[in-house]
Amino acid sequence: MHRWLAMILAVVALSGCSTVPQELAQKMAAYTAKIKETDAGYAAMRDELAAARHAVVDQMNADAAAAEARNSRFIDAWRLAGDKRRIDMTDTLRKVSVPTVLPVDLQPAPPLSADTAAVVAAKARAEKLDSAAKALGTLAEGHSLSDDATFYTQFFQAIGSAVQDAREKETQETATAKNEVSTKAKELAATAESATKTPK
Amino acid sequence: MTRVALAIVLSGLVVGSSGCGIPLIHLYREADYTAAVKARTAFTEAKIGDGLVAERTRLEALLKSELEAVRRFALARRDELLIALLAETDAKKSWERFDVSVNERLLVLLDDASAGSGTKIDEATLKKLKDAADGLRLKTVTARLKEEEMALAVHAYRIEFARGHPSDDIPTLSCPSSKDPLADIPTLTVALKAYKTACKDYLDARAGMENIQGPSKSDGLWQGLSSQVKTAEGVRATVQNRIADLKGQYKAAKDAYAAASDPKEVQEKAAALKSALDKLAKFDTSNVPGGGTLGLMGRIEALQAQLASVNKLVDGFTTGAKAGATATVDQRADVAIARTIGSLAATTEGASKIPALGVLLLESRRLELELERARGLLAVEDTRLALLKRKRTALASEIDRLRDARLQADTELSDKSNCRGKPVAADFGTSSACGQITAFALIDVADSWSEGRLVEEQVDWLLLGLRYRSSVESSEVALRQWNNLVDVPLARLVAYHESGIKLETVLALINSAVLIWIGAAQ
Repeated sequence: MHRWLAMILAVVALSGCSTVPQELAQKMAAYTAKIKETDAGYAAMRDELAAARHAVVDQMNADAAAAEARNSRFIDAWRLAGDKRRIDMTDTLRKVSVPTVLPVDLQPAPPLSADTAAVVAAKARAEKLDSAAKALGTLAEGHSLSDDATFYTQFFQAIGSAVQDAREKETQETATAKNEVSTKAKELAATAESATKTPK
Repeated sequence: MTRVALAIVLSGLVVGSSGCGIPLIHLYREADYTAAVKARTAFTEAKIGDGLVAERTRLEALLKSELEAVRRFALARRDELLIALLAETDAKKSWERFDVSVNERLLVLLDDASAGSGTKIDEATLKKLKDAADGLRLKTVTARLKEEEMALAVHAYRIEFARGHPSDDIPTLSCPSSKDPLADIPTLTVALKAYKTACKDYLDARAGMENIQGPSKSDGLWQGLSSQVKTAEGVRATVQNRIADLKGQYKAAKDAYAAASDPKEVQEKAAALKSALDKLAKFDTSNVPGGGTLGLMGRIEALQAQLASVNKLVDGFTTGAKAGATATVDQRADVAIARTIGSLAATTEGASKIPALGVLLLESRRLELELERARGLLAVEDTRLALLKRKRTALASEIDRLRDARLQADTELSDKSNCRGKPVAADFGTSSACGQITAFALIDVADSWSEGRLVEEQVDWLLLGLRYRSSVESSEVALRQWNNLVDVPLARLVAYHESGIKLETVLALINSAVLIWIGAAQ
């Protein structure tokens, strides 16, 4: 009887020798932490670009407002002088020359709330990922075994490489986009400068 | 003897299912189970890929505000020019201003993109600018006409083909065509000839548009953009042809593999099949200048082939296929194609064995997402080309409007009595001949902004937005993939820790063993 009990208990104790769950948990803890880290980095990069683009939009609107103000001064002057003909001519040309509308499918999303939503979502995501990584870390510290990990190793490598590619592309494209936004800002400054110098 | 047998059964049950394979039986640990559930819940709630959806919403909103600002600024500048022309009370200065605004812009569009305001334009240069604008108008009108002729010829061809071959699918005509379509009856030959002639004339007109020469530099916005579009189209055709060749090689390798019978030949053909698929998947555009992401066309073909094979193997499980079984003749090619996938090639099962269902399902989802990403990136390239073409149309429109404005101001006005002897605004709005001509000239100038310049500037911002959006979308699909693939093993971990043997179960097992032992002893 004692030999039996000892044998069964020894075998049951041995059943803890699998390391599959620990290896998986370990890998996923590492991957989850990495996702969290890169996600936060890219969120900051995207915020920076969005800020640059907002600045250019503000500049464009300011330049447009300045040009509109110059135009209004002429119209006001003609109105004061009773020159209705010139005012009518301007209105007619504006009405006749209809601006072409591009077939762009843009959702009417309120810009401010969209900005806020992106920032809040990024923070919430980081917290959740942090929590997942910690919990997985606890599991990874435990007991031991199996070989199912071969598949997941290859699998994660494939996914990791896809994510890496996408991220490299994003870094590159974001840098290019920032350069282009900066070029646009310079062009706008030059256009606005030349407009104010144009003799009337 | 009975005790030994029982010992072997019990030991086998536990050992065989525990240690060094996939564990089926293990001890339950409350803390591990709770940690696994917590990990999965937190990971699921993080919704990694969804975070970028908010980013995309932000991009859309940004792009919209950019386009609105571009429009506002362009229209303000247009009105500024019109008001300045109408405000000038001195006749000479008024028409000089008109001439300078039109001529300088034509120079930038047709000869020198970097020409600044105040550039002197002599009479000879001006004449060449007019000739270039005339040439562009002629070629544009011809191209449009020939496009309509092609559409009519296609219509006739379809009718004649359907009449002559009622049970066949009607082949699609393309201009230029890579091969001659069927023309085996006289009426079909006539329709086809009309199509080919119109196509040739259309291509000539397009080439003429692209080759418009400026007075000296021929380096205007028009030439730059035309050459960009032409190059993009040429590169696309080159890549498409190369992919078609590789696709043909892959199909031949697949057929050869299916036909192979002796083991050595099967092995050789399997290697050839893998090599053909690899060539498609890793199609390199480095030797195709400007190829960029177009190489994804090959990757898409390879992913489609792998996904089709993986899905066929998954379907096989519904009709009795077994994981680890040797593939039948029908399954052989699909197994070989599936085994070209890194994770499946790396598993320890034999190359001709059917992989496990769970693994195939994971790969199926991964391949679907990878395909979605590749198709999305390629679609961005298509949109980029479409936007460049839209900008080219806007440029042609601007040149045409400025050409008409120039024509009114030069020929028509100089022929009329002293139209240029009065300020631009003098006769505008009256029914006199000068008044009508001036109205046309000013409307043309206004339209050069409304139909041309405004659209060109908006397209520039759309291209910028597209560049950034494509990278965010690419990251979004990649992260969704990661999300799915971390979540599956996490679910497994939860199930694993939940399924552990609890202490009370172990005690019950011991009690049963004792009872058996007592029974066996009696």
